[in-house]
Amino acid sequence: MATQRIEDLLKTLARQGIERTRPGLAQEIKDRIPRRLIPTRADLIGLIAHLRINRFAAAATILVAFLVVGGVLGGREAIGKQMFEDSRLLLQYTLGGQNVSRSKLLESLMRFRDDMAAQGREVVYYGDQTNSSGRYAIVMYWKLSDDKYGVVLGDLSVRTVSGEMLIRLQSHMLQGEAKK
Amino acid sequence: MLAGRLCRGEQAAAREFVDRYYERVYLFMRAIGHDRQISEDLTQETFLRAWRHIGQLRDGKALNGWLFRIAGNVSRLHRRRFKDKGVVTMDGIEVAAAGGDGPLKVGQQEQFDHLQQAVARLPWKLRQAVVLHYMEQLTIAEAADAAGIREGTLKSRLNRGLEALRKEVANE
Repeated sequence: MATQRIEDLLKTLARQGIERTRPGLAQEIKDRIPRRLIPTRADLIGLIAHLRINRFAAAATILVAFLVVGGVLGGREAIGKQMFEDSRLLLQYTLGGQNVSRSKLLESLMRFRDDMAAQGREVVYYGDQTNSSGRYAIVMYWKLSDDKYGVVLGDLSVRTVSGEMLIRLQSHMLQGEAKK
Repeated sequence: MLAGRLCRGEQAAAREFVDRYYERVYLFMRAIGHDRQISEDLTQETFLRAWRHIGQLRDGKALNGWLFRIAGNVSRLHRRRFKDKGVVTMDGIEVAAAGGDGPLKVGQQEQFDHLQQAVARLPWKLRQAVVLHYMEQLTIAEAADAAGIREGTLKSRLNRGLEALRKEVANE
C-alpha cells in the first residue's frame, strides 16, 4: 500500500472517527475552572533571568537581611507592617527599577533604621550623605553582635563585616568625600 | 481573541475554551491509544493543567499548539506511570458511519481497525506526530509546537511513521 494511501486513510479516519464523548464531560471540566482564573506570572523566572544579576542579588540580599536581622535578632516589630510594602518595593526595583527610584528604596531603609533605633539598636544611616552608588560607600550599618556589623553598601548589597572592615570602609568613604 | 481573553482570566472565555476544545482533546487521547475512561480523566487533567499554566499563554498565540502540548505531556506522563504495571488501555475508536463522510463501505471498517491498531503500536514519538498532524489535523507548525520539536523533526517523524504504518497495514 502506498504511503499516500495511508495518509488518505488517516485523514478519513479523522473525519469518520467521531466518537461521542460522554454527556456531561464538558460540564465536569467547566465545574473545575478555578473561581479566580488569575494568570500566573509563569514567565517571572524568565524575566529575572534577563536582569542584571547584581541588582537582583542586591535586592534579594536586602530582603533576606530584613527578614533575618529583623526577625531573628529581635526586630520583628521593625519589619512587621512595612514588610509587605518593602518587599513590593524591592521586587519592583529588582524587576527593572524604572518605577522605583533609588530614593524610595532609601526611604524604605530609613524606616528600617528608625524602627531599629526605636528598639535601642545601634544603627547608623549615611544614605542622604552618601548619595552615591559607589560599591564601597556605606549607606547604613547596624551592630549585629560583638565585632559583627550588617552593612548596606552603595550598590544596595548587604554584607556582614567585622569592626575592622567597617572602619576601613568608613575610611574609604571619607577619602572619597575628601577628593570631591 | 480567545487567547487574549484567557490571559485576562475571563471566566466566560474559559468556558468557551472548554466547549471548543474538550472533544478534540478527548479524541486526541483516544487516538493516541488510551481507553475511554482514561481518555476522559486525561482530558480533565489537561484542562486543569491549562488553568494552572494559563500565564504561559500569549495573546495571539495559537491555542492549538499550546493545548495539545499540554495534552501530549499529560498522556506521556500517564503512560510512563503505568507502563510497568501492565495496564492495557487500548480499545478501538468507534468509527461513526453517520456524521462523517457517509456510510462506510464493506471492508472499510476492517481497514480502519487495522490502521488504528497499527497507529497504537507506533513508538510514542511517531504516534504523537501522526495523531497531531493527520488525525487532529494541526498544521506542521502547530503540531511541531505541540510536540515541542522543530518542524523538520516533525516531518521526519511523520515520514517514518507513515512508512511504519504502510508496512504494518501491508502485512495484515
